[in-house]
Amino acid sequence: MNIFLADDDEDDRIFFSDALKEIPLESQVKTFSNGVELMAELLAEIPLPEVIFLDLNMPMMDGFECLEDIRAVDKFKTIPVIIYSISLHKKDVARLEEMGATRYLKKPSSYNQLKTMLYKCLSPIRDQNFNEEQNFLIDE
Amino acid sequence: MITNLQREMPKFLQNGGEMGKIINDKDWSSHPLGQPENWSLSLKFAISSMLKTAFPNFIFWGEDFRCFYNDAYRPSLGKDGKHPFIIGQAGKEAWPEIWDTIEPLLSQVWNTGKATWSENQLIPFYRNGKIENIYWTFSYSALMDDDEKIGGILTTCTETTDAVLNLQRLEEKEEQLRFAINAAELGTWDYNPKTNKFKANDRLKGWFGIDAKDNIELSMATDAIAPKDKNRVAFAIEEALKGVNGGKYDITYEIINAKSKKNYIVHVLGRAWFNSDNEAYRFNGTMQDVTAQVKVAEDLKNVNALVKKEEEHFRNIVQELPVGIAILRGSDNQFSIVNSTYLEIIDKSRAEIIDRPVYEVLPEIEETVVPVFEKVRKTGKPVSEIEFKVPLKRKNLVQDAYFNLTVQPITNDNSPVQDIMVVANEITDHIIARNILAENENQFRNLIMQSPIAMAIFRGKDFKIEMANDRMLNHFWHRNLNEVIGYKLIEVFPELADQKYMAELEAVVQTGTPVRDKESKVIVVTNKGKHEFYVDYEYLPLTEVDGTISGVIITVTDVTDRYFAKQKLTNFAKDLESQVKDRTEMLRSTNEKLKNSVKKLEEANTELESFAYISSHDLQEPLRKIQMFISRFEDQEGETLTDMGRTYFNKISDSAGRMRILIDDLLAFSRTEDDKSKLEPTDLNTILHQALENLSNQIELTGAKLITTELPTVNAIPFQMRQVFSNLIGNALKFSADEPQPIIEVTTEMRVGKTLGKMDLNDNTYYHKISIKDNGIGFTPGMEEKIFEVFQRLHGKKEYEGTGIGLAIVKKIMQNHEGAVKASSIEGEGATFTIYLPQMENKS
Repeated sequence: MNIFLADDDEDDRIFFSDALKEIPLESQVKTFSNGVELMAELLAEIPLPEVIFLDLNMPMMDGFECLEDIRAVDKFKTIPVIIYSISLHKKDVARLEEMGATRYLKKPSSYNQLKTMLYKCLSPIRDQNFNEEQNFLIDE
Repeated sequence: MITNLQREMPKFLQNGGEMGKIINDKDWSSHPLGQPENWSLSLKFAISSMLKTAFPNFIFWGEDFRCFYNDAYRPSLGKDGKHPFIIGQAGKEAWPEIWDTIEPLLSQVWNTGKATWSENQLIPFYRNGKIENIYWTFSYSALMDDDEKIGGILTTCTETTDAVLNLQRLEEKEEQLRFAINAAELGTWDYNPKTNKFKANDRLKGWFGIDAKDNIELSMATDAIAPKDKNRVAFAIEEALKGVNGGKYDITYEIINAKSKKNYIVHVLGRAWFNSDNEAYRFNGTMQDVTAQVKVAEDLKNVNALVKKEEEHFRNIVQELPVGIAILRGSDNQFSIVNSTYLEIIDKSRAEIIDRPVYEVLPEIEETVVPVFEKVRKTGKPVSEIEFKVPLKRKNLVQDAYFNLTVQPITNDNSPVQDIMVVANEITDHIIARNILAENENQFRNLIMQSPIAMAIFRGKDFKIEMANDRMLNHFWHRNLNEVIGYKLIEVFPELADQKYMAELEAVVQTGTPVRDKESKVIVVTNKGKHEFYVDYEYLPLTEVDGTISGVIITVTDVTDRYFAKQKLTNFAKDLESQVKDRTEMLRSTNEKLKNSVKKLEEANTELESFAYISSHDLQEPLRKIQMFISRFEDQEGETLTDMGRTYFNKISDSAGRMRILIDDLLAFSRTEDDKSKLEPTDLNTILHQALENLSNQIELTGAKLITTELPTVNAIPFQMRQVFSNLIGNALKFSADEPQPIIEVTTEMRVGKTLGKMDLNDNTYYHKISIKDNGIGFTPGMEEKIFEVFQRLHGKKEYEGTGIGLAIVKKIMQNHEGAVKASSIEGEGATFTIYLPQMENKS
């Protein structure tokens, strides 16, 4: 499974990559430290990722702008975009869902938790068993 | 005569009836004709024939016309007449009264031998004691004597008097009938059922519009009958021709003249005549034009009905008139006619009084009203009495009643008074009311006169003084009553012209609005000089029944002393006022400062909240990292730690965990305000259940016993309510004592806002009061408010865990739900936290 992650926090990128390796799901992840790099890669005519993880608080281009740009391009419209960030006001969460985010994954405070949440989040996409009924917000 | 009796009757007289016997018995001895047996054969033969015929015969025999007649003739001579002595007498002697009439006839026959014939000849002669008019039909014929010369004359006659008279009468009748028919303007008709020919006189034909031809068809007549009557007439004709009711025909119907189309109503009388075979051969009668009569009868009927109705109407009016009316008959005044009002007045029923004299029915009026009746009878003139007092027994009680009374004689021309009419209008209530009014007015005047408050009444546009009481006269006016009564106010007190009072009085009269004033200065001039008063006064309009204002009543109280006392007081008050003003200013500035403090406090609070949000939000990020690393460290290095290392590591982990709770609570607190709009019906039983689930570890640890009850469903934000229950029950668990076993009891009841004291709740809203009571350590009295503030910890950190935010969150959530929370405690015995949540509005 081809995964993109944009997050300015290096620790979180490491946690993310480590956790991915430890769950029973074939994947390779490409990480970006901001939205601009992510967009550049997406528009670079290489194979598109199967899922994009997007932090919200990033320098240069934050997650909201990034999501807006991704959903503005036709060929990216079907790519699941999962927000990966800390806790937010409910109205922000609702706004993201409205903008076309697929899921909201709240950064957990435990590594094991992170693994569980990632698996929960990715397995339906891998199985193309995407279920609308699943909660938009995934947290501890 | 004896010899005649004895001798044998000659043969020609035998079987000659009575007359034969009379002729035989007559003494003929000295008669010129001699003894009958010696009479000539011709005479014998003639008499024999005469006697034997049943037809009336009379024979005059011989030259002097000796008379003979038979039994059939005899009745014509009547009683007390010529029978029987004219037998054998000469004609001239026997019939002197007619001899002049018959002698020429007899002579003619005697001379000529030719018979005569006279029909219905009037020949009056003496019979029945008088000369009667007798009609005869007779023939004189000659009789031969033995010598073949004429010897006598045979009269064959029949008296036709009855027939002639009948005929005459008939003619007269017919004449009368014709006259009557003409006079009565009758139509006549005659119908022959066999030939179907119909005859009628011209008048009848005129009515029917038929030409005056002789014979007409019946159908021509029936065609003229009005359609509505046709069947009825046809039936009546059929019945008459069948002989029903002896063939009589009597009917009235309408015809329409075939030419003029004019309508006639006709009355037809008639009769059908029947032959021996019972067949009708004639049907005739008269017809009368009764159009006018019928119209008149109808008009009369209408007029009668109208008159009757009018009479009825009038009678009803009289009966129902609100004045009592009675008609008294005869000298003892018997009640003849009374109306219902009269009966009501005397409290009697009609049956009790009709035809009974007044003195029996109303003995109590013997001395009052009865003399009036007598007077009217005597003088024949009506008498009217106004407000006439009459004792009347009503409802078994004799009481004075008052009437306007009119007693009227009813006379026919100049005949003496028979009946009198009494018209009584009872005005007792009016009189009583007037008496009460007069009494009231009297009392009112006394009241005014004796009043300790000065009073006066002014009347009219120029305010004539009608009344003034002693207080007014002595205290204010310094005048005697007779100096003021009837005078104009301005005449008595010219000084008023310069003061406001006259204008005010005018205004009262014009507008009807009272005028009053207090401590008003008034100047009155008396012979002792000028007086100055300060008065409280009131001017009230005097209103008549018709709404007009006829005067003013004034009351005046002297408040001069009070005025000056007050004046002093006012001066004193003015000092006081300036002092108060200073103090007020001080208070105001203090208040202002206080207000600023409150504002600052509010600002601080807001700042705190936003600080709490920002800090907690920013703090949670590094903390999350710490915890991430802690968890990774534990996973990867946990096994290799020394005991000391493990202890330190655990402490780091616990502190991080506590910090996590603190930050989460702070976030929750700062966010509680945001979600007001998401109230939804929330079953608190579910919420409590979830809260207890989250707290299951602690419950297990403390061994607490939970007593819950059925909780209501309220409009709430579920996760906030979960937090409320978690915090309160968590609190109770946290502050439970070691001994005895912790017991936490949840109870609920309904309360209305106004019974809940100072808690900022709506008076008329119903609230669910939910109490969570524990038997823990409680808290110090006086801390009931303080414990709901942020970071208030009442107990040492070591003894009891917690962030000090939980109760602040509960309070905020309750405010968010328009509810409240309250704490109470007895230290050492437990605490009770009570929340109030508005009852959910019924949704239909």
